[in-house]
Amino acid sequence: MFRKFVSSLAALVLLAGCSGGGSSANPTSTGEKIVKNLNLTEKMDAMDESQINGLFFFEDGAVKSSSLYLANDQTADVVGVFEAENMDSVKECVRTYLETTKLQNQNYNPEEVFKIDNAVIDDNGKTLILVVCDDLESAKKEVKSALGK
Amino acid sequence: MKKLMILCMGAVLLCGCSAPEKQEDPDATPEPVTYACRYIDKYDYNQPAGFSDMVSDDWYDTALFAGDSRMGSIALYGTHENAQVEYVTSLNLMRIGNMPVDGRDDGKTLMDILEETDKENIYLLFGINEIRNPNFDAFGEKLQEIVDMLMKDHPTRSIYLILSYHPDKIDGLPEPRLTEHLNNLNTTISEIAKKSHVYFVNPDDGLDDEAGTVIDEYVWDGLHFNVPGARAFEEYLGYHVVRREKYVQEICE
Repeated sequence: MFRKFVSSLAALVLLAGCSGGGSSANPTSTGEKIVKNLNLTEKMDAMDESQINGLFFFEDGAVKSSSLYLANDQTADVVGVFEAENMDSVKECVRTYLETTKLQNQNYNPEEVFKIDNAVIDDNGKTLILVVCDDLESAKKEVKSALGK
Repeated sequence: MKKLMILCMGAVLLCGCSAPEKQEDPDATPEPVTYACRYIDKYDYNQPAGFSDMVSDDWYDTALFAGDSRMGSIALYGTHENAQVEYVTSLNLMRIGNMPVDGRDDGKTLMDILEETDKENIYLLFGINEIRNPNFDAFGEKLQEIVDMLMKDHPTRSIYLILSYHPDKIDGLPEPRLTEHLNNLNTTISEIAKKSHVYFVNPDDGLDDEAGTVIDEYVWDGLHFNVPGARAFEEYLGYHVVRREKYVQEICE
């Protein structure tokens, strides 16, 4: 009886581990960590939920939880971590955000356009991370590590 | 016996209730008559501010003009040096507490300036950087929050929400979507004005050509005012100041 129970439990644990996509990172701590590791703490401010919705226009229920940091200067730097319920919808909103930001910056801050064009966007099926910053190589590494890749 | 006691109590109570007779003193000075007073505001907040006499230069001592890069034209080419003009290029209202104001080295945001100001006449021009948004719900909520904050300790202050004039073009938003988005944006703004009893001004009334877009000679890129445009905009605002005393009456009864 005990053996059966243990083997059932082991099977459950294994199944849970195999469920689609990677692990979902906690958006708040992940965002904080990326900002810190990219040495952006001084120039980034955390946004609240209403600001995130007013910038990304996610569909209702598309995002479970999120965190967003934006530059407190005129640059387009951004670190966003979005735990998705509907990944396709989240990707679409992130793309629209980048397109709009690019259109605005090409008039006012054309030097930001390269960064926006080369934004780091990656996901593991559950969590999507967006980074726009100067050090794109470090950003790629940080994002991969945060997504458990 | 019980009946008698009840009758006595009734008589005592009745005596206690009768008002003592007032002895009028013919030499006494009469008590001043007090009136209940209230303010009646007859201004129609459903309408944009109408044309009136141009304000004097002193009036600009009390004025703060705040907004996005379009307000920058007043900062650059305006003729009233006593007016305070603060703007943020590329400002999205979601970032009003996050982006630094142009031309300042103290790192203050527009939200800092608005929270600190004691100006009596405040003009707000926002929304053009949000014009591609699918809706203006979040924008409206933020603008409402700002208006509420400005009114909180200054109920008699005059706030003017400036509607977005129709630019010649906006990249990535061709017609007729541009017009549709502008209508939605300006409806959001004017609804806030009506609800909060603050004024709104509609520069399209005075700065547009026959095509319904801003006069070509007033803008250098289809959106931002050049020198003649900034002067015309400044003049338009100066001729559309609401004289509160004309509409608000104190009624005492």
